[in-house]
Amino acid sequence: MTARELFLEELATRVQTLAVQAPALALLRNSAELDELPAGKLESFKYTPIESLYDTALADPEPGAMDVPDAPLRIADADHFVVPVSGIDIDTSALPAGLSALGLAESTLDLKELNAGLDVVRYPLVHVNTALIRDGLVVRVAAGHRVTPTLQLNLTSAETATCSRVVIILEPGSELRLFEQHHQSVVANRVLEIRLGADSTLHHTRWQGRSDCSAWQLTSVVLEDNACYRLDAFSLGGAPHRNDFHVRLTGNGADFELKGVQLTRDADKLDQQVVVEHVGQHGRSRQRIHGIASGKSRLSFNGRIHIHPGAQHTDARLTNRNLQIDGSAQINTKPELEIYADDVQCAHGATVGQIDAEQLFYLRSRGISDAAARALLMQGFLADCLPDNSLGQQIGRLLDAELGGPGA
Amino acid sequence: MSNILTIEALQVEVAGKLILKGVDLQIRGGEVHAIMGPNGSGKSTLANVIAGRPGYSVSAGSIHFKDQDLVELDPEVRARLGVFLAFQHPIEIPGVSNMEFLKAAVDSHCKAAGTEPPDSMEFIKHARAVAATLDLNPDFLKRGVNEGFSGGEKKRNEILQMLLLEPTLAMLDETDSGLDIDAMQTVAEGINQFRSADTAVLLVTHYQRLLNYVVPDFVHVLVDGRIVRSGDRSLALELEERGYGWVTATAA
Repeated sequence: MTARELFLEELATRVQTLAVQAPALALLRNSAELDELPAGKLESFKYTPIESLYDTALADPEPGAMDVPDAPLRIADADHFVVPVSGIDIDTSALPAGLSALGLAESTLDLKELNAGLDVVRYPLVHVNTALIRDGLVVRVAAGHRVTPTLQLNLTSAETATCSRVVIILEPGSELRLFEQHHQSVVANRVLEIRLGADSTLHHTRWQGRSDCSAWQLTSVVLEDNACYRLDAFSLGGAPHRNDFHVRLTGNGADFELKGVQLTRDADKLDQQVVVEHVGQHGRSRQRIHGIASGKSRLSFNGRIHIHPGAQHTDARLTNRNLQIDGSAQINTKPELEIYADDVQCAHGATVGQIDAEQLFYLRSRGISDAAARALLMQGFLADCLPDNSLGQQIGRLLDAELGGPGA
Repeated sequence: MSNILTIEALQVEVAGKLILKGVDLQIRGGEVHAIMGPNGSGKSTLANVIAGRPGYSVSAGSIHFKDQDLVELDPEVRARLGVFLAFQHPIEIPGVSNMEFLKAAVDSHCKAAGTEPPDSMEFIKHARAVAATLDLNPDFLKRGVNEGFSGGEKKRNEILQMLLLEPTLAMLDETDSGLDIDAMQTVAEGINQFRSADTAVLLVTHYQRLLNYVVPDFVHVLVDGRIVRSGDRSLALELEERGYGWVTATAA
């Protein structure tokens, strides 16, 4: 039997078990189109063969793996609130005005249509997520409400985070700050869907620490007229980590800005795929992703900008810069541009380089050790991608520690 | 006064090509030496090999700093011993703030000397005060290292580093190039401020005009990898008058 066949067989058993354990979502699980899981190679899974994920998707957590370490990043207490990703045991009285959070089964979402907005062809692992779903979370910000405290999603809880589904809906004119933190000790398979209504704004910070467990996630975002999505995404590698971001600017005047850092070391593998689709007119997208790979790690990035017919006056930019720290780290980067409208501005660029010898000598000639000079240059390389706020400073310190700088 | 720098029969290769073909030079405490010479004579090579630039290999001869053989030492070790090179083309390092860079440099010196690094706030105050003496706006300390600085600002930033690191031997590689008269005077004041009985200065320059402001004790003319003539300040003036053709011809 092939890995896929074994996987499908085992998956069917799990779905039956779950039917007893979590009957509320049985209908949803049964809607998973497992036949759509590809058997062969997929271009979008070139560096993370999808079949290798099948092998690990059903792995039982090792004893002790359920002991979840403390989340490394904290927001000042008064400025945030936490809701469980499972959607269970939410203290609704603690939620800010205008925000509701419900378990997937309790929400008013039409579960039959749950996957309708997702690009399951490019990311077929949605079907696995659907088949194994136990529970999930639906967050909704009511029209016109600006929620000041930050909504924190801690994707650390071993069991519930393993296969989670989170849907965040911003109704027209609303605003939310979202901090998504991953700190996992089990294999994880997640889907985060974000729907941004007209004139809404979401500030989203995502931190994914290093982990010895594989993790893959689809973050799918739709922007309606004049919606604004700011994403600061920090990913450290794992075994392997795969992150797909599908951002679709369907409305006119929608605005997407991504700043990202991707770091891998030792034997880490990290594969990040960003697809930006401009559908509406006067859309704007800005992406800057800087990566550093060392050791025997493999860092892959694919940034695709697709401008649909009629998406006139689109202004789309993508920059991906990478540093290879020693000769054995592998970096793959591929920017892609597909344009079907004639009045647009687009620019994309990707580079892979090494630490500049002149810069290194300059620092060393001032007494700074080779190691400290390299760390300083790497920090400088990432500086443009850090948010200018207290969370950004914390993240900067964590990254410094990763790079062996003074914070280490 | 004992020697700060002693160079004997130094031969240096860069990319397999012999650039310095036997240089002898001694610099004692309190002295200012100027190395002059036509383009391509090896002036910058001499300063860079003393600083330890990778790719500059000593194929014969020796370089001693006080009693210490420098040749095998890493550039950061030379710097901590008290060797400083002001770059001809200071390097831009976007994303690393000038202040962060200066503090890291000074801290590395303290660590090597076994002394306590300066308190951050005290250091910032000190750096701002020194920057002010060089007409360098304190805002430059917050910006990326040399990022978007004009030519003159970069050179003044080099002098700022020199004054903060307090080396024993300061080598200035064409620090005067690209400076207008006002900037040259400011830079010269910085160098003169640095001069003392315990320090030494090596000026690498193509023109003699900096020497009007920083008066050298000795002037050496380097031609084709060799010092062909040494003298006092009047040699620089004579060179200005008669051009390098004069020494090249008499050397041949």
